[in-house]
Amino acid sequence: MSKEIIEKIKQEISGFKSEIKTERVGKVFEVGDGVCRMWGLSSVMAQEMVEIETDGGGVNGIALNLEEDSVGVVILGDFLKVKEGNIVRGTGRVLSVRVGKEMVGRVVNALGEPADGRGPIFASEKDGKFYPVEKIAPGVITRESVNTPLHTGIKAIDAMIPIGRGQRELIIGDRQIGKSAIAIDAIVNQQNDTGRRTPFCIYVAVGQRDSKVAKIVAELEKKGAMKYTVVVAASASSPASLQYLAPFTGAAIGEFFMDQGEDALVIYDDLTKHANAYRQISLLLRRPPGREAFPGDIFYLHSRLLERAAKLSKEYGGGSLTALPIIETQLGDVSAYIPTNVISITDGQIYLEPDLFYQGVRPAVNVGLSVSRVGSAAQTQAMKKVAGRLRLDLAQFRELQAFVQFATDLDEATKKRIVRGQVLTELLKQNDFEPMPFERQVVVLYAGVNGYLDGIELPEIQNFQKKFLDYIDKMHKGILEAIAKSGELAVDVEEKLKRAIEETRKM
Amino acid sequence: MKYSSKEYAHVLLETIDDERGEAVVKKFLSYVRTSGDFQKIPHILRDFRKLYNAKYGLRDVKVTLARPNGGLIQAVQEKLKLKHEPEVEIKKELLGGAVVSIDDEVVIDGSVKSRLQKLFNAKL
Repeated sequence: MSKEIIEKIKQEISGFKSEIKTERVGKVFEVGDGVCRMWGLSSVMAQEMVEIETDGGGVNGIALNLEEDSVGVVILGDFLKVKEGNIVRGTGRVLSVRVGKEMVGRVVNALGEPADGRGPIFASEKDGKFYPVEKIAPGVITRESVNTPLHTGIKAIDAMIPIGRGQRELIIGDRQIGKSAIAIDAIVNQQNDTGRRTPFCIYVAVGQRDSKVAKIVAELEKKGAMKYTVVVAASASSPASLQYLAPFTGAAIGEFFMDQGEDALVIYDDLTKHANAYRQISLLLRRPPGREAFPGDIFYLHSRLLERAAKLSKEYGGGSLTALPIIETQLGDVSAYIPTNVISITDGQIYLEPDLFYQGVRPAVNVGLSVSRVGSAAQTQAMKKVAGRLRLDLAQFRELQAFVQFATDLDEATKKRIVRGQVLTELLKQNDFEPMPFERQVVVLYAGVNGYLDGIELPEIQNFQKKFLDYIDKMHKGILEAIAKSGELAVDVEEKLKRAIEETRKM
Repeated sequence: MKYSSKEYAHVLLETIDDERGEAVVKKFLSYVRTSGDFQKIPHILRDFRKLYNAKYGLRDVKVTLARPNGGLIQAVQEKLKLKHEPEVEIKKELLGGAVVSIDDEVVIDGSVKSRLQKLFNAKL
């Protein structure tokens, strides 16, 4: 046996041909905090991967700054190993990550390497495809307008700020207000949306605490959502270079699924920290600082990332890539530099308000300031039927909210509007990690907007909702199935629904 | 007015000669310091070396070997038509062969170590 192995090795070695080639190299002359500058390597491309030969082995980097007589490199590995005088070799290829369906269920780092301790992702070198981390977004010809809903399972969002597959919807709000929870709910809810293809979800954690990432992965696993999810983690302890790359890696993984004709949902949590990481790299590379010390291309950084979200036309496979970027504001200041940039890039925003959060309205979505510019085209007919009234009722309620404390002095019609607003606000409350399938949302909201819940005490609304859904599950399952299947609220189904609500109220 | 490292190097090359080399360098360094450009010295030196080599048709060649080999060094000198002997460094970890570096920008790696590394990468 050992002889056979030795013979085989001998054969392999005799068949191996190694040519001595002339290589262009560079030499490190300055090392900074995660960046280095070098002389030489005159033929290097922008964004090309380079390998720095150090005493402790090769360290990868990306050539970001191509200057007249030097090259600025961002180090992707352990920058403490890099020393002045180290030789740098170009690899001849732009930074790319290996992607494939094997990544589903795994936690990877910003270079697409496993970070969950569960061994290699790909069984052999031939598996997976190399996708460039930076890629020009699909052009006009290849796209079509958003036409399929992406249900988040959150009543307030699916009804009033609908998201379509291929859309870019920003989630914006202060710290500790439930931004990530909305994104996680959206991932978990994809398995409830049985009428459509289940999108592959990519959760990109940028500058988050490792404990938070671990908690999210555990929650996704508990809910069975890791079966279709990839987590790209560049936590707070990762070098700024990896934090800068992570969203682009997430987009590359999403694009792989989109190119396969599948749907993908990418969550960038969050782009504020991404902008900070990019600012750090840019300042270390001595790029001129602009407003708030961000470099001049900070807008382009986010616009080129988010532009990669697309709904491809049927001729190009019909896949889609939906992006849910998250932005953290300071004291609700949406007019800061990065929030205004990302607001202007995206197709709408979900604005979370601290006041609502502390009043107990959770998710704390401010439906007045939140918009979805293209999602309504993708909303189902059934949801449209209830959502129109819901939006109107809540808008009227907002106007009258100031008078709530003088409710006794108001006329009957105004009182009714206030009560309806309070009931609907109560109905839209939802716990974390409890997304609701869209057909259930439709029946619950139908009861709310048509005044069936007006007489119920506010603290009892959630109980009634639970009782009503239990009753429908047991006695009128056909209603939910019909809505889920057709996406419409047909006249006969509506009649059955009315009866079911009345029967529940009598219970 | 601020000058680039290339401009400094050019001026130094034009003014320096065998007779008053030391005095010129002293004066040059004092000017660079008073102009607040002392941090540019490594860049100036590199650019000076480049310009100097270009002017006199010289090349910075370094040959790294596993063990001394006079024949190989001579062959390199002839092949590259060098006016002077190349710099030689002995590195036992190369195991055999040689690595020739020209002007810190081009490397011809014919060492046994790199060939073994390539074989290892290709077959495993």
